[in-house]
Amino acid sequence: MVDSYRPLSLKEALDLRADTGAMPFAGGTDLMVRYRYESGAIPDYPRPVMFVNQLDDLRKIRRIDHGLSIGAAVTMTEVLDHDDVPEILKEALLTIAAPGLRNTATIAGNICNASPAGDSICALYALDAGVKLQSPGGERIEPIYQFITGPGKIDLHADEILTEIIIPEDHSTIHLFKKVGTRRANALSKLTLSAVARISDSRIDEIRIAIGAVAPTVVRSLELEKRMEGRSLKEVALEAEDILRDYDALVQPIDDQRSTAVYRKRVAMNLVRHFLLGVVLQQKGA
Amino acid sequence: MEKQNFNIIGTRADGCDEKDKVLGNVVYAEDYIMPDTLYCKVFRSAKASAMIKKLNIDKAKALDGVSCVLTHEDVPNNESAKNVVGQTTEVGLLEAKQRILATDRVRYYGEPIVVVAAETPELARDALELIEIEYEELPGVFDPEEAMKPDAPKIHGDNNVIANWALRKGDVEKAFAESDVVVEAEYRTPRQEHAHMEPESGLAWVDDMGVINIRYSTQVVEHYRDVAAVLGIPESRVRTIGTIIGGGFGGKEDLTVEVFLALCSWNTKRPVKMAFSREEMGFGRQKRHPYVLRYKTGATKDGKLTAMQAELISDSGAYVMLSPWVLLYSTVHSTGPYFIPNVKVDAYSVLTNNIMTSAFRGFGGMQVAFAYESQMDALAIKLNMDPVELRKKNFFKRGDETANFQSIPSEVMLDEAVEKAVEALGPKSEPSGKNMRVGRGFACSWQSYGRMTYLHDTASSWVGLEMDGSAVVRCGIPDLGGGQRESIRAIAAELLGIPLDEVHVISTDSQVTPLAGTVTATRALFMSGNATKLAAENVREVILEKAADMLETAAEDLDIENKMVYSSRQTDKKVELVKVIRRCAAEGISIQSLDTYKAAFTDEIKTNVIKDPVYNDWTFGTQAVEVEVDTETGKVNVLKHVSVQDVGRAINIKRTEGQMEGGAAQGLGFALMEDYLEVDGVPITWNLTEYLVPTSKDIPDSNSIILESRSGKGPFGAKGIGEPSITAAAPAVANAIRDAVGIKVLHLPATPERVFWELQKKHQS
Repeated sequence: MVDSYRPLSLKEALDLRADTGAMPFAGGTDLMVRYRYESGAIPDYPRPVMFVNQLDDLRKIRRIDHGLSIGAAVTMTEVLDHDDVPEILKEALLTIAAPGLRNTATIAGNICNASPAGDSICALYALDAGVKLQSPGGERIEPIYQFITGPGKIDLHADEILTEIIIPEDHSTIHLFKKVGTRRANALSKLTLSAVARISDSRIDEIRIAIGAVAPTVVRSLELEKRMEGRSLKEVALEAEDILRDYDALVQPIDDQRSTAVYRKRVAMNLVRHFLLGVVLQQKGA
Repeated sequence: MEKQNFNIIGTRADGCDEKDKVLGNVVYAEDYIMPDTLYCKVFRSAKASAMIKKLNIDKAKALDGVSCVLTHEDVPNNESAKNVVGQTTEVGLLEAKQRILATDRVRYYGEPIVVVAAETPELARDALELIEIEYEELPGVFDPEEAMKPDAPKIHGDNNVIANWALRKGDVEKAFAESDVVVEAEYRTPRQEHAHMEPESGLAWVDDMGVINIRYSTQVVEHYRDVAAVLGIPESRVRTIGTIIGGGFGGKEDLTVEVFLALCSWNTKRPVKMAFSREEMGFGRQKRHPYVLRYKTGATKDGKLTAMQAELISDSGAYVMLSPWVLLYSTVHSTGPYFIPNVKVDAYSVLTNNIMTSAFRGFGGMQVAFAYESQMDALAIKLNMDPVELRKKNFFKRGDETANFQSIPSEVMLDEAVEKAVEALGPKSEPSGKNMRVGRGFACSWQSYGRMTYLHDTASSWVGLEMDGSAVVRCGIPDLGGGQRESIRAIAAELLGIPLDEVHVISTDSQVTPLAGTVTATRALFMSGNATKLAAENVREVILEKAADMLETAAEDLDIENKMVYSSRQTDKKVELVKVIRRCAAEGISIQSLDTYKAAFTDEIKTNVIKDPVYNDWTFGTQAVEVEVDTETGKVNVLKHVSVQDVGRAINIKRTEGQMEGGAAQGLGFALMEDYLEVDGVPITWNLTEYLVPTSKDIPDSNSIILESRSGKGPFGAKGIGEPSITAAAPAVANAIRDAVGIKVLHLPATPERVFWELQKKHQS
């Protein structure tokens, strides 16, 4: 058996977390799977569990300066129903599981599970999202690409709770989300691509490309993005093959029961190529 | 005269359990519980091929709350379980009989070794963890073609080939030499998991007369015989009681939980229950046989088939189970529903250290359908001929002889089926994007219904009227979800002129319901429907005779409708059914009947070459699909699906459509995604997170078109539909993918990976 808590305020939750090391439990759709014995038996949690769905502070989606804040206990369905949420995140969420699961699962849970195949995570990389981490002693905000450190590994201190997901204002003019799975619902990804770009006057003002399930964490290269940003489509077109080669070096997938490394690599690179050559460089003025 | 005007048969009447199923109110096997119930769990092999060097159960036995820990030494007849279920005679090659609990060697990952019963499921699980075992690994063999080689490790005895069947008709060599076109290819099919929603589960107890009662989810009530044989007690002291089944598809045809439950309750004299976990359903239970199929098919330039040669190799896993029979089905059905003058087929079923394989909806018919229908499209392309026209030139006609020299006894409505299927696809869809390609394909199939005729299949049923004009039917067929029980009910209600809700069917109790065989082999409606029809007609005859007396008219002129016996000639001549029943009672005339239907009987097959009839009849049908292929990723989506089947006669339209849709969905899963993967015999797709079956998003709204030739051997001309509904789905998809992007699909499932690489190969060449 396991101790469980139901704090009535965020402050109480933070104290409980610090005192007992309890795991925040929102939708539970990852935790129940991760700590199960076998179907039919009670899950075996290694630490106390703390339910957080009743905490109003974690249940809000609100506009903030230059962006949007999504509370950690907001369900995926609630995110999908919100007008201000960027389109690419909605597209990603719609490929996750099925409506029943999305009615209880949270994005924060998806992030803390830190699977390289997490579909919302991949979109959040492309949106340059951050996470707010709170503890009794204070708070910090980390970019998602720094918060997730490996498969199933996150930079969360023992006294911290992930309380908000911060998404900067989305100014992209084009985006592409594509998930490749064995079936159209309730399937873990073979690979995913999330990419956004802002093009004005035949110039790439902003571009972010994230590739999921092809490496220990979602692949995103700030360096390669910088190389393209602020330059004209014509200039980038000349270097496109070179850039694709550099992305190719970053894509290092594995074989598993869901797909093969060679397939993941080829298809991921085809999708990056498609976004860069087939979408971005096809914009007016290229 | 046989009743012709139907009020219930051929309608969309509701069944008694449909709403409850949707609302979750149905009581399934795992829901039953008794006071002082123990919980049973199985300790299974963690090696695919090994000797058991040491097995110590002392710590598990000593755990407080554990009631029994049993090994093979506690099983009276550990090797006596028949591999051929529900039969009165043993047929086939039974060397590789399954042990109830492993003795000194394990042959597949998941093989049962110890069974425990404890006060709670958690204690039973703890007891499993206290069992100490040491293995010495043996070389294993995981590829059936490797296993056929002389120096391959042997699973049992000295030969891994446990069954071999052949067809020989005409002279294929000569015919190929004279053919204008010949196509050749090698096909592979996956290890499909039944994935029924309800796990194998049940509850057993020993009653006050010393009889073991087992209430559980099974397709075969007759397994009480196997349990009795294992325990070494009289068959009359084992009683099996079936429940509403939450899916089976052949997965609940072989022995599942009943022997474990019986062993534990017999040893403890307490009620015992168990349910397989989803993982255990994965690694502890048989699957569909993966096949390698090498086909060569020839035709004239006018599109007449001249010859077919095939080699079929099936992976039977570590024990024989029903593999020889599955292979027999494949062999006879390997030609497809086509008249081919020259045929040569050699088929082998081979033991490996992989998970066991046995019965699964389609029973060997699906694997060959993928090959023979892919071959037909390959021929059409080579001949530059419309694939519909090519098939029409070659379909069997009623009375034609099959390659096992059996005459087709019923109508073959494939011309109509294929036309309707292709037409029903409607206008072609537009691709949904730049990299998308839309294509169409169809496939035709034949699938026998009923058992092999040399098994001398019979089914019994009892029908009795009550004093108020309601009726009871007793017939031992579990309702597998296809509405088997409802069909029996409809037949009795129709013939006796009683409203459907006044007929009660008791369908599954081995000591109460007359034995009806199994709910397998698409035989329930055919066999039990006929038996119930016979019994109901006997009762009907008694009623009509007595009513004729009372009305002073001829029985031939009378019919019963809505509990009124009336004359079709003189409208004023009528009498209430209840009054006739009372008169019969007063005169001591029985208004009950037990009757038995016998299928066709033939002699036992004595040679590997099948030269004699082995089936009762076949169901013929066509499935057509439209697919969209994403050329960037290789992902295939099914946009439209049509199934057209000649079911002979639909007893209930809604449930017939239900079978057709369900079969199609399972067939599309086989085509596109389902494969239980193992690496050197160790499973890697343990549960339904990794073993994916289609969801409603993967299956388009299916268009099911029912044809009724009324020429089948079932009641009122019905044929079977349970298995035939699945058979043609996969080759239809394969043919549609070829139509969309011009690649051959030779290896199922057609996963994004496989389709993608074929596309790459095509671009390179």
